[in-house]
Amino acid sequence: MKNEQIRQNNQWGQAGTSPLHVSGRDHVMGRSQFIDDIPKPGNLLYVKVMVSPFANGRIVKLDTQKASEMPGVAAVLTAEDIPGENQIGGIIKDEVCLAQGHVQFVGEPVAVIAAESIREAEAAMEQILFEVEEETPVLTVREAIKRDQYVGPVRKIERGDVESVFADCPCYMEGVIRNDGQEHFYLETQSALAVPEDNGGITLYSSSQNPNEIQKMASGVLGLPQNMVTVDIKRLGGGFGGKESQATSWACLAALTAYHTGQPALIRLTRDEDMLSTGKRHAFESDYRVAFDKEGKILAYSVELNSNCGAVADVSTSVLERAMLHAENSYHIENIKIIGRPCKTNLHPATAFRGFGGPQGIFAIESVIERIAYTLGLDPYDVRMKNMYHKGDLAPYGQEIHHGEDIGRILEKLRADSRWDERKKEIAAFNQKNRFAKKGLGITPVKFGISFTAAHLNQGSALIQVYTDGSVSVTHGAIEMGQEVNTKIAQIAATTLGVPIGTIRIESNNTKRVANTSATAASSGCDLNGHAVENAALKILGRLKELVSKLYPGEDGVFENGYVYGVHEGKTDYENPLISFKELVQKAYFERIDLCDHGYYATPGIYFDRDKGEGHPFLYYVFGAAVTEVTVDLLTGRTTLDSAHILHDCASSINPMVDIGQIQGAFIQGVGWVTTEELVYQDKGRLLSSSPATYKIPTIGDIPEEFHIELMEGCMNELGIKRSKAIGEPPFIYGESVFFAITNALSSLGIYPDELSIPATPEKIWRVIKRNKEQ
Amino acid sequence: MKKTIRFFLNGKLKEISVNGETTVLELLRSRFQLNGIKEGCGEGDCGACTVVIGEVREGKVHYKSVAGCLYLAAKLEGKHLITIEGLAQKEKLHPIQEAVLNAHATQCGFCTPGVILSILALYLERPNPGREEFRRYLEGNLCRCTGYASIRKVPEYLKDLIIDSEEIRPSYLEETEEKQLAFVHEDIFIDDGAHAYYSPVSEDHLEAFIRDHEELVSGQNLRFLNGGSDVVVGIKKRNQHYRLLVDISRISSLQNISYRDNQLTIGGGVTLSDIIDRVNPFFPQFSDVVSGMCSEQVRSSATLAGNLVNASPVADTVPLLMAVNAVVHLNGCNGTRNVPVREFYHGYKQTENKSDEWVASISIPVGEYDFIHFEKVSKRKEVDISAVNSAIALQISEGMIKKASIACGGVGPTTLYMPKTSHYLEGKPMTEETFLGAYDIISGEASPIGDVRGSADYREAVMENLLMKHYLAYESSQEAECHEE
Repeated sequence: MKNEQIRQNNQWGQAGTSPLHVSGRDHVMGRSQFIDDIPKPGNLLYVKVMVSPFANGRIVKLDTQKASEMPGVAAVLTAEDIPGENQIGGIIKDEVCLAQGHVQFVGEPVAVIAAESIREAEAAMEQILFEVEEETPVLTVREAIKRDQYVGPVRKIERGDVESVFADCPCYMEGVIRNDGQEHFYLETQSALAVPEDNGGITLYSSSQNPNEIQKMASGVLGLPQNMVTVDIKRLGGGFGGKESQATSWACLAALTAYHTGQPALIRLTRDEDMLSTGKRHAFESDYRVAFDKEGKILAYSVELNSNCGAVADVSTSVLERAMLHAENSYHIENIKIIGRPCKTNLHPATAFRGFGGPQGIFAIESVIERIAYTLGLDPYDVRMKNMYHKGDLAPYGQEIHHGEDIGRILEKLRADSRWDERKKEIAAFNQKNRFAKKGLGITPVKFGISFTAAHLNQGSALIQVYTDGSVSVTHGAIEMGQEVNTKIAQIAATTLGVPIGTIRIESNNTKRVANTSATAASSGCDLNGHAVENAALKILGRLKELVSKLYPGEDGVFENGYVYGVHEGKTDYENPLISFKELVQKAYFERIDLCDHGYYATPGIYFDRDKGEGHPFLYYVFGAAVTEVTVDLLTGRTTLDSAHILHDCASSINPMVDIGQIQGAFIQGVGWVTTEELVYQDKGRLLSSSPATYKIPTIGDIPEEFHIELMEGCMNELGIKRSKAIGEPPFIYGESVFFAITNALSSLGIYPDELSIPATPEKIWRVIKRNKEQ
Repeated sequence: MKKTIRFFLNGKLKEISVNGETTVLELLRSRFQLNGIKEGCGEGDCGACTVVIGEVREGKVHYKSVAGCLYLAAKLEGKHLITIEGLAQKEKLHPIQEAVLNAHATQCGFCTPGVILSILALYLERPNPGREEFRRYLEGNLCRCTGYASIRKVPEYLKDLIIDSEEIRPSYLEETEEKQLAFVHEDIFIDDGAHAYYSPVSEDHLEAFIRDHEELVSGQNLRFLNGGSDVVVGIKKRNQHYRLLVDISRISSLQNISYRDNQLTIGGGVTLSDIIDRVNPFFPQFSDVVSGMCSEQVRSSATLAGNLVNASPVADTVPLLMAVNAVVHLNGCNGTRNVPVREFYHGYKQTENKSDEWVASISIPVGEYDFIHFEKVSKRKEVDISAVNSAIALQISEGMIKKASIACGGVGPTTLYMPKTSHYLEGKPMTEETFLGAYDIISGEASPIGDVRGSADYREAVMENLLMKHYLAYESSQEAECHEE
């Protein structure tokens, strides 16, 4: 379906159509509530968090006496004031809520100050006496490896025998591939509002992708059972992974304040505070070795993926796992050895970010392929197709790449659609004539595995109430952060129950209505919770269908668009509805038929043995590819993105416009990562680029005029909810094609820019050009 | 002098007390609980706080987008503040709201009110904007979710929805405009004992005030502002407070642009936004410089005077003004002084104007040079502070450079006029060799330092390479002329 064809009339919002954003009206009216918009109670306390300015050291003095006596101050709290456990580590218990004894990264929370106004809290914060015996921080992956400093175990996935191939191969290369981190820059900064209840409990409104973890950690910190802590989340002003675990601190600190003072407490980080304290995408520095033949076929690939995890584990072990599970991307490599090292440094804890290690693992192999193509003088597109997976091939960890033939279909179609071969010629001609600017073309195919690699997280929950007037309330375990999971789930509920989408209302995610949910992450929100919603809806539908059989003997009820139809002569009789949904529901109530139900889903058949590096971790894969063209100004190093062609596999999209919107947004975010978004740290571990004045995400002026996105036809996902595929993360990786378009442009100068790393900023590009000239 | 602020909010008259440092963002969220406006960064760089201001200029009400986190609430006197809450009529959406909805141009919704208001400001001033104008008005609205492609399509959807450009105007505009035109302006003076704000309606009043309030204006107590796009960031983020802020934006004598005898004179209160359109007929190259600066939300209140006085070493207007030898006209209680821009800077953030002097106008000679060009290099194309910038002005006759003038920013504590390089170019042929030859000369005139935006050696190399960029720009302008003929 081409973009232009997707301007359909959305009938009743059923799956496969593109009804408008269920909160769209509220968004455009400016009345959608985010945490800071929740009406503030009269006795609200504003909380400022004092964070460590040092990256490493022993706390010698933390004196809050003077601060607590300042006007308007209700409380100044430190680790000593934690009633429960000072621990908020999710996977590995290595993370304190408030620093105790020592500090380990710039931005680590040390104390909270609660006052009647922000100004008073800020004034009090200045009165805190805080002294640290500084120790030299460890800031790089190399230093951490030298000291054997990791946040988790070193892991391995291996197949075949790379060493014997390396010992005797036609061609061989080795090198280092680097990528920097990335700031999420969700427009709504980290915020949390804690409201004490009248029974000793507490309700938390948190801008978080993970209500269950907030509930668990807050109850742990306060020493309360989980049923006394309620978390309610309506929506986020952006998440992208940055609120999967990094929202926990702020929610717990707000909860701690409310617990101590008995008053509602609000934390809202300013942009600078947010950027300084919170974790970013993992920077990687990876060492590779590759053996290949003269036709560009990879014979053996060994890569050591070293991630810079910051001071605590956070989700780093899982990020590294995904990086390793994507180290081969779309390529069939018989002999492969993947090592993963999660390095511990004195930086803010690197965390989840769209792609979750996948982009980084893929970046390594894609870089290698580009280098192979350059070395052999082959077309990079050809080299990729030479190595790609075919039907029936197995991944290094043993899983069969189901529908692997789609990789080839997509690559062939995109090659033609993007006019790769003609463009190459046009670009070569341009580069011949132009001394001060060079054009380049890049291609990045993506194969992205869908499911949490931690198998137990693959569960979803839902609660559906059908009211007697036929209106429907749905609660589900995912968090709406702009990806429109709410719209899709409303469509799933509408389709299953056979009612117009307008009668469905998606409620906030509340731990009292759905419990023990997983984070909205791994692109799985709609998959897991959509299945759960379908499950609940089918249960209710089943009972209603039974009633239909009872009321209309012999009739098969077809539920569609608010009516129940009979089937006559093999066709649904739309002319003569049997009954309206509303009337049926009324009857059901009087018949004492349960109109509500809970739904649940657990992804079948997935497992991964991380000690052996073997298993079937993914339910399915998402495929796609992107071709982009850039122009590089050799005098300044600046890059212009000229065009982008993306072909993406959604299988049966539940909402094509939403999916296209996700692809557009993810791609541009990827473009930002590989070009202008540069995190600059000073040598003692403090982030210098801590505001949008210095950290530059793409603007409307950065998107190319030619920007084509197409959803690939003929792809299947039998087990997907409504046969759809997950969308959130895979398209981010298409941004890497821009990086390779840049290296392609630069390699026309005669040397492959080996040292260029993500982001390819103007200055770094200039350095490559300079080095070229000198050689 | 008034102590309260009288303004219109979504068509309704309001009269409020504020202190001199309260911003529109704070006012709307804390005082009025109108939470559609969001804080995304607090320093004018993300657009989530965009609102629309209607103000009277030259007998008509004009509308512009401003950054609510930078726009002082005290500036609202006599103005019309339109927020997202003022668009829909009960449940009936404004066409722009509907177009954004239909175009699927909203995802998480946080940037959406700002985006819609930027589009409103655009359509209220320009009924049929093109692609380029749309980009100009939206480049200051950051969106992390949509990738902008759907936002870029909004005009298409809007076209489908509106038959008459009048439909863009909220229903209460006409009545409010009448009231605004009849509004009587007087000086505003607010002082809470720690921070004061003064907004005079004339330079005479300003002079009298300064004389009468010595204690408020002595030393470093006083700061002038128009948009305040750096002053307010200083107040909110860098703990840089002033005893007195003087807002010159309501002084009409400072808002003229005139062109006479090859002199373009731009008043101290003329905004960057105004310069883009009004200066274009006389000095299009300068108009281009300003188009590449900041975002519409900032350009609409920021001034050329402010860019000069703020004295950032990478101020984008300064290189060109130095190259063509523009002059700053300062007014003060002790009279008028004329200072060439080349002599305006004495060190990092040290300018010639005394703290109680204000910029009355800047006069720019036009027509003296045959070729004028400006380049800025920054990480991101739009809304990014330069790492290095460079302007050149050349008089060329029969392929020879008769007169040359070059200035660069980002390579020293101030923008630097390059006399040696300028002199080197004079008398030489207009060729690539000449400009390559100038590389060594220019590198001798500056020692850049490294910072978060660029390292020292990159800056030096770019400073040199921009010489070549200037030459190449000349070459393509010649080719373009050939094609036209």
